[in-house]
Amino acid sequence: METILEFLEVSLRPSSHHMAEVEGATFRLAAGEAVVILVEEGREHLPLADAAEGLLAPSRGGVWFCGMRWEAMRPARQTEMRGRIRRVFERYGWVSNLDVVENVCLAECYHTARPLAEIMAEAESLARQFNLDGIPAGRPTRVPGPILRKLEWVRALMGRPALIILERPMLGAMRADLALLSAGVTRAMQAGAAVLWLASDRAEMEALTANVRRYRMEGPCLRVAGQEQT
Amino acid sequence: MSLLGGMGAGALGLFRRLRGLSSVAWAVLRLALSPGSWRRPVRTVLARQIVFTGVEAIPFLSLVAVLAGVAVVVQAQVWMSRLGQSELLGPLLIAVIVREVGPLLVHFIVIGRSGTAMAAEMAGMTARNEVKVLDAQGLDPLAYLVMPRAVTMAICVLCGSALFSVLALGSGYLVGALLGTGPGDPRLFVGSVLDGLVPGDFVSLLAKTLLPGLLIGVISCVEGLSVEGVATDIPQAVSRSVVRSNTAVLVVSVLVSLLMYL
Repeated sequence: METILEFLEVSLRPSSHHMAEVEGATFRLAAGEAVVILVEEGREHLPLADAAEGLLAPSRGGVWFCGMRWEAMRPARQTEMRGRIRRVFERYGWVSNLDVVENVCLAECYHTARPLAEIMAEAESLARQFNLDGIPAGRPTRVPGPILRKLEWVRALMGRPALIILERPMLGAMRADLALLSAGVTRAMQAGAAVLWLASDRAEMEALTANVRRYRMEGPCLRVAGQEQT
Repeated sequence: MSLLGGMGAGALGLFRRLRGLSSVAWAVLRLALSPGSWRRPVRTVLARQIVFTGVEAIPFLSLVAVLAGVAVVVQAQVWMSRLGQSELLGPLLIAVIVREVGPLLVHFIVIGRSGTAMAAEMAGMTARNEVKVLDAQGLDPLAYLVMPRAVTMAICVLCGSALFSVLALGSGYLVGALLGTGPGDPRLFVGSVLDGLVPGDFVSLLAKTLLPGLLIGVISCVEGLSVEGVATDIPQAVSRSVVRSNTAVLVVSVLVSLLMYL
């Protein structure tokens, strides 16, 4: 299987006091696989997602995406490669001056030539899978938090991403919806996406059952939490 | 620090700012000329900005144009007629309205109405971490946020200046005719204005609108994006963008005028 994401001895220095330090993180993620990292609630923000996207350069070690090291890519190439990644943000992940539907479809409209009607239909279909009535109209600030969180899941699962990053995706969501999310993520993995899931608790950590490796943060270090299950 | 040292530091700071601004403007121009940059969401941003900066500004711009036309054209008609130089009315109006006052006033309107809004919008997005959200989805902020706004500014200032000139000259003629200060026959007035037009006027109009228009777009966005994640910095960013945009417009305008007359 093609390696999608590789962390090799990655150390990350926090750029703000809200961010946790990471020391010597190493893992490899192939297409159709998932790496779940337990980042317990109350911990500071773990900048692994930013590093995986090449938005934060490691102070030591390297991060490879689709066989290329982020630092070795030109900015235009980095932008293009980020178009193959979808992400659920731990904090507010919306552009306020765009409607929710524009936010949800933005990356697909920008990076692909798919017809808008097809993109919208996929968004509506994914929304229904998460028990939503569709994509609400209006700006994100007018949509209740739990619905907005599910819409982030919709956005992350749209199209054919190479990598899906879920940064504590259950924050602000109903606990009962975890099964819906894990089903959606499993379908994306079966379609070939690699998944990096930063989980808030054990339930999230156990949500995926196949092709998954589990880790937990112990201080700044990444430790294997369980055996690989296939 | 000595006086000389302070002046040197100031000059170096200015040089660095100008170098930064030129490199962003150059990158924006290259992006704008590359067809691959005009993806669907970018075209949507362009269309929305044209509606906001161009179409929605028409009523205010028209009011200013009519008032400026009445003030300038009627006076020009009176004084040219008193001096017995009525045949110079056309060239004088072209020089004052089309070359100088029109583009400058349109720039000031666009900076006040749209440049400030752009700077505040960009600063707000930066403070709310939304630029990172775009970046994380593979949308280059320069290509998605800055480029279409800068292109909009250039297009709207050019079109706005053309509209301003027509409205100012037309309203000036009408009021002059009502007051009996100008040539009664509209064909005489139009003929006099058209005779005063030379190819250089079109070059001047393009140079005084497209380039500074692009620059004020770039300055407004860059000043907004330079906010370091703190909402309280937004007013300062907007204020800086207004001062720097006006300075850029005046400097480019004077330079183009000097080049045209040399």
